[in-house]
Amino acid sequence: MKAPEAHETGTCKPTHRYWALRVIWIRDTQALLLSPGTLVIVWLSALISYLFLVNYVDTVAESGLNILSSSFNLPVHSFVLTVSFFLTVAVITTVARDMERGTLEILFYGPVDSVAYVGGRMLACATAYGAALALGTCGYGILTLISGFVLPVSTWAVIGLSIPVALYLIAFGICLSAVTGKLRAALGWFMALALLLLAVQFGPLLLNLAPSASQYYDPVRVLRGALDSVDRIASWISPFGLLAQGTEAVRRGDAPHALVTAVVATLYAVVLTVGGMRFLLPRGMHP
Amino acid sequence: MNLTRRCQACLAGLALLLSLQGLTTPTWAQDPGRTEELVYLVNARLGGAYESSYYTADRNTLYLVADVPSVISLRRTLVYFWPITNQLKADLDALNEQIEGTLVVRQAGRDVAQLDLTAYVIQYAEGKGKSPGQLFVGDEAPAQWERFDTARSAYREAVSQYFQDTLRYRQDLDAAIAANALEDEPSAPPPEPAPFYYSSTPVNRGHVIELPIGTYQIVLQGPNGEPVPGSQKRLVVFPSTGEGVAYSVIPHDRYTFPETSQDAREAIYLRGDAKAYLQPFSQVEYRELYLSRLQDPQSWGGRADRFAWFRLAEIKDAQLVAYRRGREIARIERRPYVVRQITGAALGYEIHDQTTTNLERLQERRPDFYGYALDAAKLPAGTKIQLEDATGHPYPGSQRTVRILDSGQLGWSIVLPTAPFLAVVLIAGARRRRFTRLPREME
Repeated sequence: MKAPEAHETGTCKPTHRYWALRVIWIRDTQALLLSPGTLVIVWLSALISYLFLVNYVDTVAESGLNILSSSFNLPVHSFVLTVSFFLTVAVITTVARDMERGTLEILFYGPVDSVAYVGGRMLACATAYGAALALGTCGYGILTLISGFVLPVSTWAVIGLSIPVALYLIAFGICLSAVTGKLRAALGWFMALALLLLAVQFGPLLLNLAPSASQYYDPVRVLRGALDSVDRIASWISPFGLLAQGTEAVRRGDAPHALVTAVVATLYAVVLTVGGMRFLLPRGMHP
Repeated sequence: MNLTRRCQACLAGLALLLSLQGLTTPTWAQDPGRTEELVYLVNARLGGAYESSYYTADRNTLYLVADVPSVISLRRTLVYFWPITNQLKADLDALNEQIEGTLVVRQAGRDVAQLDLTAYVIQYAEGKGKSPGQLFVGDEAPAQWERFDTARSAYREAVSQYFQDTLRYRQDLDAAIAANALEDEPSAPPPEPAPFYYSSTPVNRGHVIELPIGTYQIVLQGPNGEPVPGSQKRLVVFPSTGEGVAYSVIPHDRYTFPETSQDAREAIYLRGDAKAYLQPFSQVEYRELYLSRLQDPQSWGGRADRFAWFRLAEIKDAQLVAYRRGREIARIERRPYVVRQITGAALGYEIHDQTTTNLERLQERRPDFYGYALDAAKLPAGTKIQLEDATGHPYPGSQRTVRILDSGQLGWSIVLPTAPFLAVVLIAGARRRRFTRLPREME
């Protein structure tokens, strides 16, 4: 294929953009897949999943009986969330560092524009996530054969559903880096928002364990109700909420609901990716 | 004055002191304050039974299941806060005044129904939980109450007769033993009367309501045509969102700790040598929020975007069929089982098939439960089970996967999570790390 010609600063011809995107994609994918961090995270996620399954087997061995809707849901959730969380932190670090160090400006004077840059990074993360998921799924398959656990269709559906959710989380990380422009700020915001969304999702469950002190003046009850109301909205915004919602829909066999969840997550991923591209262009270029 | 008299005098003085103490010291028994309030008493049909609850003035929404008859009535009663359960309680024994009037049901501003007060009774032929509840309204209500009362009186007479017969039988037996006149086996004792499970509410009056799915407004119009203050409420009439079969799975050695399987997508995992007994129940699914509010109007739990199963009656006329790769491999009959508590250091329970047990004492007992036995040792890998009726039709939602887990094989698989890690490290080490380069013209 013939190489593209020289470009104008800040914008790219489609051919240039394709080349740049491809290069960023391949380089980032290689870097992600072969970095010790990714390997350690994938290994840890697999180990956590394995421990969940061993725990189930031990329960059966001790009590003789266990009833599970999907023995792989918890392992898959832990795997998916750990890997996607790691990839998001990795992409935040890369983008924010490129902005902080002025690398982005140099790239934008070169044959790279924000579309190629963000697109390449997104594709790299998606590929790395897909590879990690494929590894994990192979492991689950082998464990199924060894242990006798069922790997039901619903688990495959949850694995499929996790892809748009992970992309949404990664796109959110890119957008956040583009908006803040600073590594510390981007990581801080990401951690804070992630913790907030997790608190909103699991807060009502934890507060349900707290006994009510009074029928009329019970701050815990008010907080529980408030968190529940917030969670109802957050479950359509938070990637964790979307994953939980989708998993529940899959468990109930509610295919339309599961599909809606996947579409919503994809939509968010696209919007945030485009948002990242838009935000990155003015912020990447120093005046 | 002897010692006894002195003691008596001391005791009398002490008693006098204690009684005076009682007069002066305030009593600390807590009496919660009661306030007069209008409450809606609801007999809501849920599954096959009627759930009784009351909605105090602070509850703005009532919940009922769609397309089944329920009964609601407005009462004036005393309401108090009970801190132990953290709930508002209605003291219906102290005050239970029926508010007369017509219940008007509105939807989107127009009247949907006007319901007058009518007499009703709710009865269970075999007791609540064992037979479906029946609602009798209008003229039928007192007639059914009479029927129940007659049956109850007959049972009382039968019990009384039984005690008399038993007493006479024992006296005769004692007399025969005393006279040494007992030559053969004594005659059988008088038979116990059949247990009386038939139950009924007294004849009450209420508004019988049966509405399709929707959100309504209700208000009670008094005899003067004016709405009764405090009677206006929102009414949510909700449908079931699914039907299925729940299994209560009783492990052979843990009779008191059964597990429950509610979903057809669930798998029952058994140890290779385990035995379990399945008791099937029909069940319906509702939105969690509506179900929890219907069962307890003062509950704060439950969400409308989550779902919960509600268990109905036990399924008795079915066979459990086991399949493997689509082929029937076994038909398991419903059998009576009796439970024996193991005495001694081991403790625990043993479950015996009553039809085959050789323990005479267990053969004579009433069965503790009926169920279908699953023996892991006899089941091949990858078995699926489902309930079928007499015509061979499967019960929807009764399918389950049964798997036998072998914990011994999992030990060495600890290497598995590490395998991808090692593989990638080896590949990465073996290969030179190559990055795709930009075309020369672009550099």
